[in-house]
Amino acid sequence: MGTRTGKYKMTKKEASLSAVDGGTVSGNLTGITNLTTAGTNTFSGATNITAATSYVEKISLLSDLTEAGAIRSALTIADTNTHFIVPALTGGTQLIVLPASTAANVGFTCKFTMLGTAAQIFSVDTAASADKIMTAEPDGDGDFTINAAADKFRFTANAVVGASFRITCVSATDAIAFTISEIVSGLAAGTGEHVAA
Amino acid sequence: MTKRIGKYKITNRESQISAVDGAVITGNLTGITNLTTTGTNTFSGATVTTEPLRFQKKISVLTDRGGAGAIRSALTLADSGTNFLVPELTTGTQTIELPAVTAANVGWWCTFTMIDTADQIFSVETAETADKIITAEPDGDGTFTIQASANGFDFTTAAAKGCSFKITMISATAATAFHISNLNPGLDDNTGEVVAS
Repeated sequence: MGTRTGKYKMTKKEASLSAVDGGTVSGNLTGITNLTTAGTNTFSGATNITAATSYVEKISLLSDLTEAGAIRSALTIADTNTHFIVPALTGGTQLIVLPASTAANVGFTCKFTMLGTAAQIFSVDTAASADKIMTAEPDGDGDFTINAAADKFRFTANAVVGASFRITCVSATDAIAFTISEIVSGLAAGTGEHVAA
Repeated sequence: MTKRIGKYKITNRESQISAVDGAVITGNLTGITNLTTTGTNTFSGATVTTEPLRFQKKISVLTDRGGAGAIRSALTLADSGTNFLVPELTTGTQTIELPAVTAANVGWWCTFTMIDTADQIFSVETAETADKIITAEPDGDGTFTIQASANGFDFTTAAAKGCSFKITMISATAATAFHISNLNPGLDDNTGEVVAS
C-alpha cells in the first residue's frame, strides 16, 4: 500500500525525499523558527542555548531496598541532573554508586533529598577507592568538619525530611573528582545528618 | 499565488512533501549534525544532552505592586527555572502563588533574589492549604529553625540585596510537595531574612 502525505499518495522516491514522515537527515538543519517535539530528544553534540531557558528538574523517587545493599544500579552520565528523593529506609545501610571519574563524566551532577527520617545510613559511594569526594559537614555552630578525600558521602540514620546535598564530578583526576555543595539541614541543630566516610 | 522554494515554483503536492518551507513532521528525525533554530523550542518529552549544555537562566524582575496582594499571576510550569528578582516593596505584604501540586508539575523550581531591602514582606505561598513546604531558616549560628509543613516561605522586611532561595516541587504528595534550598544571606549575620509562614 502506498504511503500518503496529507491527501497525496507518495511514490517510494517521494517518500524517500520527504522528511515530513520522519527521516534520517545527512547534514545540518538551519533556519528553523519554532521547533516543537513530543518525544525523546537526544543531543550528543555541544548544545548552546542563547535565550532564556525553562526546564523542570528530573525527579526520581528511590524505593527502600528493605535491607543492606545497592538501592539501585550504579549511576551513569544518563542520570546527570537528577534530583533523587530518598524515602525512610529499613533493614541496613543502602548505597548508590557514583559514575567513574572519567573525562566524559566531568560535569555529572545530581542531588539527594530526604523525604522521611532515614533510620538507616544512605551512602553515596565512589566507584573506585582512588576516586575521592571533597566534603564539608556542617557542625551546627558555623564550623565544618572537612574531609577532602572521602570515598563516601552519607545521610546518617538521623537525617530527616528536607536534608539534602548535591554532588558534582568536577575533575577526571581521581583525588579531586567529586565535590559536595548545597547542603540543607532538616534538623534544627544543623548537624549530624551528613557525614563523609 | 504560486509558492516557491528557492528559485523553483512548486506544486501543492511538492509543497506537502517538502519540509524546507516548514512542516509538521510525523515520526522521528535522526542523523542531524548541526541544528540551529531562532524561535521558540518546546520539548515536551525527555531531553538528554550527553555533551555540555550551555544556557542562560530566565530572569524576571518583579514590579512593586504598591499595595498588599499578589505581585503577579500564579506561577505555572512555564515559569520553571526562572530567577525572580524582588525589588524594594513599598506597601503591604506582597505575594506570589506556587503552582498546583500535581504529578505533571513535579520538578518545577524557581529562585527568588532580593535586589534591594524588602521593607515589606514578600511571601511565596502554596496554592492550597494542604500543599506544604519543607523549610529551614538559618539562625545565624549554624543552627536552623525548621518548619517541615509550611504554607509560605517569606522574605522578611529586613531581607537585603542578595538574599535568595530556591524552591523545588519534589513530590506530588501535598504534605511533602516543596523543598527550600540554596539559601544565600544578604546580611552578615545570616539570619532574620527568610521565614516560613
